Amino acid sequence: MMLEIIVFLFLGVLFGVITGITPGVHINLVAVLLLSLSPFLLTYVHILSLICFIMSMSITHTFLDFLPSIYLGAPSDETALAVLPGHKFLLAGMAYEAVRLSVIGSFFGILLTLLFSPLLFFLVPRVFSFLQPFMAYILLTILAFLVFKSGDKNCIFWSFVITLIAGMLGFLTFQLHLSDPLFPLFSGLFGVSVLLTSIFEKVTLPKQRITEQYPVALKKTARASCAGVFSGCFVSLFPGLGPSQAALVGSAFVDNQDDSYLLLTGAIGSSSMLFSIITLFSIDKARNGVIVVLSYFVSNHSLPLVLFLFITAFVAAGVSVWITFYLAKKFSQVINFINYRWLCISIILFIILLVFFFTGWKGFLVLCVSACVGLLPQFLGIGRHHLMSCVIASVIIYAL
Amino acid sequence: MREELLLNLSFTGTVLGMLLLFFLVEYTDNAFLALPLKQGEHGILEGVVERVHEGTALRFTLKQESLVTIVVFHPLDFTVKKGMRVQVVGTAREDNALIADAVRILG
Repeated sequence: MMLEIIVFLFLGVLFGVITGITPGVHINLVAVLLLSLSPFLLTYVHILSLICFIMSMSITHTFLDFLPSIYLGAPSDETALAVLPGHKFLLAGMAYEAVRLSVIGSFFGILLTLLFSPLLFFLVPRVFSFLQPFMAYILLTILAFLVFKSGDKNCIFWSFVITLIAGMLGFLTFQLHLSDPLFPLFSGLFGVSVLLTSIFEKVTLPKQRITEQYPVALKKTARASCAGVFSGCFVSLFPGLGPSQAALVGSAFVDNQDDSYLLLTGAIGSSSMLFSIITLFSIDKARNGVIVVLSYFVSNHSLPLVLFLFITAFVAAGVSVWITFYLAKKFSQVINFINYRWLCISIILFIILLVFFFTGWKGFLVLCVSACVGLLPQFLGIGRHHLMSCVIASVIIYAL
Repeated sequence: MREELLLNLSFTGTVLGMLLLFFLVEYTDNAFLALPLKQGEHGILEGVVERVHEGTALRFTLKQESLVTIVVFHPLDFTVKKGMRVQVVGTAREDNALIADAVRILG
């Protein structure tokens, strides 16, 4: 059985690499496919192997999804706010440095979340039961905070408008009763819209160098990772909030430098994924799509199972560090030879195909509208995190 | 932090993690199993046989409400084989196993 588990662990890593480096292809998609195939698969493999696959894929994805964000400017909802500092490094020919900082942040995020997990298991049910009656008001306050923090009066106005439009879009999408409403919604808002922007912006990239010019001090790493773990865990308590909002909270605790910000976003991505396991086991709440699928496989909340998931996550993180460094070096070498425009077009076509296949023409309609809405923050010069109100608004409406 | 240090740290972590995983899986196997019945509760479960243990017990995957694996203790004849769909009537034991009164082969 151990051999089977190791095979599935590395298969999970492989799929995490594929979903991580392919913009628009999310781990939720693979997890849903796995769930639909599971009655057949379980005839041949043990259920622990499938659990191991999902866990290792999720953790690997959090390491690898910085590659398209930094090199291609195509972020997922998790890495949306890391794009700006990452893009600065890319335009300076130092994209590899940006990846290195993100990987350090991610690895320390995993280590610290594992270290704090006993405390988190103790605190989460208590904090959650205290906050739950006020959930809708807290989410409303967070939305208002994000709008008012966006800049001058003009930015505040447009942030409010985008929050409202994305909220309505999300609410209407949920009324369509699609099989997977978040897939066309998020693909449009955070995937296709960014790829379309990249197609129309003709950017010339400088030659990328593989250097280690940022000697990251242990104190700085520890501070940024702690801020990332704290903010990642805090926002994971609330439905609809994600790493983008966590980055805004966490940035208040680190200095205003790009390297600290990349360490922070790295720690947030990996720690929020691991923290989702803690929320599933302690308050029975699945905070992202892949954990929803995992919850179908996990019906007993025993300590050995938690340990199994944590160790799997740790092993996957260790392997992912090596793979990410290797692929970042390869990306740095080949990025100037790739026809980026055609790459973006083929990814958009692939997403359209998947949306049609899984959600039909209604899903395609949602994809088109959400892609148009996703273009607005770019044109208006405001943060993309306001688009997350597509989920938060619906949660507030249901909670009130 | 140098890249080499991080690579060494992650490599050591991976090896240690693999060892821990091995001990966890090999020595606490039954702790992963789950039974959708409370201790002492009597019930009927249906699922596909995953493994047969020397004619004394079988492990099968339950597909009624969620996908879980449980161990059923019952004197079995040799007609029960891996992949068969079975219905089990029995009482839940403390350690997430099921003491069966009867095992019926459905197909």
